[in-house]
Amino acid sequence: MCPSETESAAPHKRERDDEAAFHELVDRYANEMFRLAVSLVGNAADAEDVLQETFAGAFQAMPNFEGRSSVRTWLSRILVKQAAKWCRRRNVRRTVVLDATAPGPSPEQGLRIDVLGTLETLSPEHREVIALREFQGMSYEEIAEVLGVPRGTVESRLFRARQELRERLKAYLP
Amino acid sequence: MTDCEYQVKVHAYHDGELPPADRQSFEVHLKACPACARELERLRRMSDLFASARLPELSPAAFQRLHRSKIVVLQPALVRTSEFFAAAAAAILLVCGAWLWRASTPQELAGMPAWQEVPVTYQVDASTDNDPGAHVAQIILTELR
Repeated sequence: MCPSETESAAPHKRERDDEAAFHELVDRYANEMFRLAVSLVGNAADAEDVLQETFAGAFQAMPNFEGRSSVRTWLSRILVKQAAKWCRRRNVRRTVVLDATAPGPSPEQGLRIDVLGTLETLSPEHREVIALREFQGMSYEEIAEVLGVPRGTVESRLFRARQELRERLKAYLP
Repeated sequence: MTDCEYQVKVHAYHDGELPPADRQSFEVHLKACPACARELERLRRMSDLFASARLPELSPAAFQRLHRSKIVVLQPALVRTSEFFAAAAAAILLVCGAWLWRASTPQELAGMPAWQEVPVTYQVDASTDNDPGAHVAQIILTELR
């Protein structure tokens, strides 16, 4: 291939590589990140928006990703920040308007609503450690890396968050 | 909540975060401490509760939207170009605004002050030619009139 053809083909090749990388990132991590987003913002609709912003931000930051952490940890860090931004913009304790004519939620849906609703009553710091530990199954080290805090801080936040949750989920945890 | 000094370790034990040596000694302690055993049981039930509250999966439609969103993500050049034009438009508006503001302010009154127009000439007596002090005094007196 002559130099001029190489030069003109290079941007297109880069675009194709970028596109492939983006699709792979989405295929591998979208579902997991979506569940983390739901646990942080409390509902699927907002979680989708947070997810989209997360992947857009991740893709633009990808050239700076040095591989010192796993992709999962790196993505989680971006998502936690996006979710926190989203919650600040929203800045409400959500109230759910129930339609009296609609069929009630199933027991499973009811449990999910209650658990997510209770999580939303926690402070952002407590909500994050619970979401990362209980829903993502991350280790203390991983959580510390995602949140950018020492491991000891993760332990103490988890301890206090669980104490609060025990009180608020008394109906489910006699 | 347990009042045992090992209470924090209950959480680390439950989360699998105790090093092996500490885990073994803690398990010995657990057998002898009902408070820690109760706390551990509560933590397990809480985790089971979270596991039961199955979080939703990303819908296929949302998945597709995410894949399609690459159009915006993959065109940073387009974004930069649009930002450039937006900045240029803002600069042009600023310049036009400044020009309009200047054009609308009242002009200064025409004409220079008289003292700028009138050349100053001094009618000095020839008798002061040899006396510089008198020469200067005459100029001052002329200006004072």
